[in-house]
Amino acid sequence: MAGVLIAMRVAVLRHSLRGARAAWTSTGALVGLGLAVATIVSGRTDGTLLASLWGTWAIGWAVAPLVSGGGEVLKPENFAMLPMSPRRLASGLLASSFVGFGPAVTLVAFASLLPYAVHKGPVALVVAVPALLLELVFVVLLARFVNAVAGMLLRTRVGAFIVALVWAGSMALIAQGWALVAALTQRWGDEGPAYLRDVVGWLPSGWPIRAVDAAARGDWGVALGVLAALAVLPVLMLLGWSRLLQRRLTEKPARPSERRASSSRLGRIAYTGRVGAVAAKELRSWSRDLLRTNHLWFAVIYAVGFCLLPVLVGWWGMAPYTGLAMLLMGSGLAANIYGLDGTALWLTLLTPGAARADVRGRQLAWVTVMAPMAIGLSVAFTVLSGDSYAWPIVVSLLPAVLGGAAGLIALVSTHMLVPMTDPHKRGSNPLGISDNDGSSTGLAYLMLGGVPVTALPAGAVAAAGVLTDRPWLAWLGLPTGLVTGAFFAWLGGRLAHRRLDAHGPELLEAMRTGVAPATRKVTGKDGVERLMAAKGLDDLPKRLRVIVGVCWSVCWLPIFPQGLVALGFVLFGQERHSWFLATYVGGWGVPLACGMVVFGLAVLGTGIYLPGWYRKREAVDAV
Amino acid sequence: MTAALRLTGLTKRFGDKTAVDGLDLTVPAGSFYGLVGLNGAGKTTTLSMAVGLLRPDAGTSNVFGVDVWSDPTTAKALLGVLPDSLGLPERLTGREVLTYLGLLRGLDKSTVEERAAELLAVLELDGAEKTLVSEYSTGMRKKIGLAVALLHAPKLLVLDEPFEAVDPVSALTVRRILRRFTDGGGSVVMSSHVMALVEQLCDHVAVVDKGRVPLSGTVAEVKAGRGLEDVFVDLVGGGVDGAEGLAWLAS
Repeated sequence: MAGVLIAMRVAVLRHSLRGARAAWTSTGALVGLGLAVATIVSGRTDGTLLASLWGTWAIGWAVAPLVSGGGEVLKPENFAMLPMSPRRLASGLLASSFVGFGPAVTLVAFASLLPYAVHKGPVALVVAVPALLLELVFVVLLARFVNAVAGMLLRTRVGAFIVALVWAGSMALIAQGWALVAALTQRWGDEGPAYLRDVVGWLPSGWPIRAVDAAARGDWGVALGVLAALAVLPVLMLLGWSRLLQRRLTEKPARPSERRASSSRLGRIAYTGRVGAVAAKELRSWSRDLLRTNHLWFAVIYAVGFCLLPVLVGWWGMAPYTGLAMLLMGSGLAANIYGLDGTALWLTLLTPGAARADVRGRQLAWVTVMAPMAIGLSVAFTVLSGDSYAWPIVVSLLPAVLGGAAGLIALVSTHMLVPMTDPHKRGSNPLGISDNDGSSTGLAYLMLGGVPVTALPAGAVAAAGVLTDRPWLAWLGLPTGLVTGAFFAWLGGRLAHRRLDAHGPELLEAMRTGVAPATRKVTGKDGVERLMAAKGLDDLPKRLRVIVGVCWSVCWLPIFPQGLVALGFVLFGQERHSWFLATYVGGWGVPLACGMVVFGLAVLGTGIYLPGWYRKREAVDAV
Repeated sequence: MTAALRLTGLTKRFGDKTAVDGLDLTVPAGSFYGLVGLNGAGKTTTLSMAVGLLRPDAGTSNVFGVDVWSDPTTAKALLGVLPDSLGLPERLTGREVLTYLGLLRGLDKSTVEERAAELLAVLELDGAEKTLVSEYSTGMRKKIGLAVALLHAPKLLVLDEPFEAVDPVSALTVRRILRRFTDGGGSVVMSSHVMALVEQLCDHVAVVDKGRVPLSGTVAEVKAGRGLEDVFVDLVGGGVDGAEGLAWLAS
């Protein structure tokens, strides 16, 4: 049973991991591997640090379903008619979940327990090996469990809020956790972080470290007890998961309730023309689609957490920008808005002249949903912060970011569309929006980087005014923001509806078949493919093309972040800086960073050399 | 007289598989045209290219003399389309779908409301007033799709498997609606697997096989005195199996 499911998953992954997607996935795996090595290197001696790093890995697994669209390669629905108990099905699905890069990379990260155990006393290795394996089972199961619980919760409005609260809250905590530590130190001195250390240590992610510590002390009772707990916990979770699976397979979710109250207002919008009709349709989707409700809350909660956690140490500096942070996060979650709607695009394509109305209506609806909350959060927290100089900056940036985001959403969602599972084929898991590898998460990061760029002029003008103490200049930021916001919204929308007019059928085909459109011109798969076509490389044999693709996409990693950037950090004396390996190896930093650059150049060189070599060989063969 | 739909040399390749291979077809104005063919014969691909939802590798599609790919706006105003199993705005009720699409087509408010109400009543979807499209059954999705196709009073209806999953009573309703449409001068192209239905409903029929049309004409011409099913099986079928093998099935 488990064996068959594992084989099925391998087959599915093999079919989906082809060509450029394989290059993307291997890039991701390499980044993960870098993080895993960093975990090993930095947690060699410091148990507290190791426990918090493991906690971060566990949180990573807990939010994985959000990032990977449910992360279900095999759908339980497909096995509903097999004569077997939910418990067996759950065990089989769990076993198949161990196939993939994620568990492999995590296993490498968890291997960090071995050097730690050696450091504590080699006898602790006896405990470390089973403990790290059990922990791996725990995190892989955690992803499935969270997916099941979130899927169940996302059937109601309150549940959508709870899921957003947990996910956005933990991600904000990862980003701004330092504030919590600092606040505890401020309150209780050194004992403060010690409390936190205890908490982190007693979370399941810290249990293996506790077990190793106990074994090293010779406290075998505690060590074995913790091991037993580590073994029992996954069993309990598996039982819970199989319960949820059974509910999912046998109960139809309750209908999302409609809101009659708002229809008259929406009706008025709808009758103001074609753009109004689309906007009214979109606003209904925003209020009725629980996934969108969840995204909205996610943006709000993340922004509030991210900007207000520093208030714990009395620093209000980020608070005025809460509304802007929410807009950024919200734009990231809306970056694939056409992909999320799926093949319903045919209606727009078959309605004469509807493309423009469709794009503008969606932009209008997004701004209508986001603007009141962004303005509310900005005003409230700027007032609370008492930062009077923040006013011109916030007020200038609001229209700039709103407009820039509305433009970029239209542009990115039409030009870099990531096909998703069609809404009417998603089955019972509301999170199951895609069976691809989270490429839409890439779009979200693109928005997080791109939207601020559109707001640069307004921000620069306002900041210049504040810094030079010229109020008139600072307030000139507002008209600047209004102009750039309007300009980018107009431009992005225009490029988007032209794209729909020119390439609508290709986008539709992409969503029907789940393969990214062949006319896409920007980065990723087609960027590489187009580059290959431009260099005349598309006639290479498949295997060689994959190797060349991997070389080209991966080489930048050692050259820039792990090489040049890390070198900069080392030279400026920055130690232990996030995931830059060279900052963790003491005196070896400079050689390691230089080695990375050389390695990256070698990979790039291989990518450039291989095609030429192949051509020469072919030419020789032809003679 | 201008043909309602004229396809010339339509071709579409997916990778190394040729789905539609230089297909020619002429649908006379006012006719009720049936397309029959095996699974994978290229019916859906042909219809998608004909209406402007899938770009052909070669060939043209003309709707009442208007090229669908060079003058899509004019062509699409003449067309009503029911595609096979594509998405709809899932978070709207049936009435809202019709209202917004009508407004998007530039119909005025009162016309949209009137037509939406009538279509919902005729197709018996008015009982599900509060149901979102995402909760519709497969048959209901077909019916709301048909309502969408009819809403702007097109001249040519292109329907991909319109009777699939529709219950017998609703099927009768749909047949009456389509009959009225052709009686009033409208033209219909419809694909189907059900020979009996095509034989009863259509006046013209074309057999699609391996991306081409080996046989087409009025139903009487194509049948040439035999049953449509026999003609079809002889033309495309090869052997009909199923009697031998599977010995384990009833043991």
